[in-house]
Amino acid sequence: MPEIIVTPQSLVQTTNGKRFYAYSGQIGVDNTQQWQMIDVDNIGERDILMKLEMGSAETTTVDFTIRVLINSVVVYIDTINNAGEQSMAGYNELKFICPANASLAIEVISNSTSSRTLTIMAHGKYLSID
Amino acid sequence: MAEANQFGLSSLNQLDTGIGWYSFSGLVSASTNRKPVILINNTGQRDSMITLTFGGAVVTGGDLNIGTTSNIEVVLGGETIYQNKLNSVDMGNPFNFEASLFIPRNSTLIIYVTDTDTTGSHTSMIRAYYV
Repeated sequence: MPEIIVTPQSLVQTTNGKRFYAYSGQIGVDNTQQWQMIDVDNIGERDILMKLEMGSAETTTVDFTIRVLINSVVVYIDTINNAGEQSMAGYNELKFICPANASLAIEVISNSTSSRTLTIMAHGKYLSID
Repeated sequence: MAEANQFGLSSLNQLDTGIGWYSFSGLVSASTNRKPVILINNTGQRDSMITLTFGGAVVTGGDLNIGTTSNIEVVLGGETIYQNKLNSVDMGNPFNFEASLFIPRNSTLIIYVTDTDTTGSHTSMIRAYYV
């Protein structure tokens, strides 16, 4: 079996071709720039429903601003943190539709000068008729 | 390369397969005036199940300790059927919300946002499936 390459630059299709996933891996984020967690040049020829979760193991409270860009247009922006007992797991899973043949980027910037490690897990389904 | 942007902001965009539609407001500057951020004159000839996602007012790289309060309103056929306040002050996640509702065919749907100040920008998203 060929090895499946999981990178932040592509959506990996499941073997039945109905779903996909993408993982950012661990990325250090600070306040110097928008850090691209996921950056897919072309999502493919089908519309998708994407679901994503952001996570951080940082013990210090940090605010992160996440934004979603489709064809370089900002369609969603929000601020999230890992404060106290709440953790990022309390954040609603973010779900959105992305049209076929679009570019998709998930970017994050923090309000901290120190680099903080973040991860994003994303998965979803192709919006077919069945 | 991806195609040039084909979707319109604030309007209804059909899925290729015809099973539903979506709409994005795009970035809208916060205002104390009641602003229409998504305006759909006709939702189509089939009933829809829609989910609205709203992130509140955001300042890129901002500090949640400062906080901000926004109101979002769903108006269907001229009637307000839902409104809610989202407060992003640092009292624990989540700082966004989703609301789902059925809307009848051939409806006019407007999403309004009002903020308590002019700090930051809003984004609103709708994903919809015909039922």
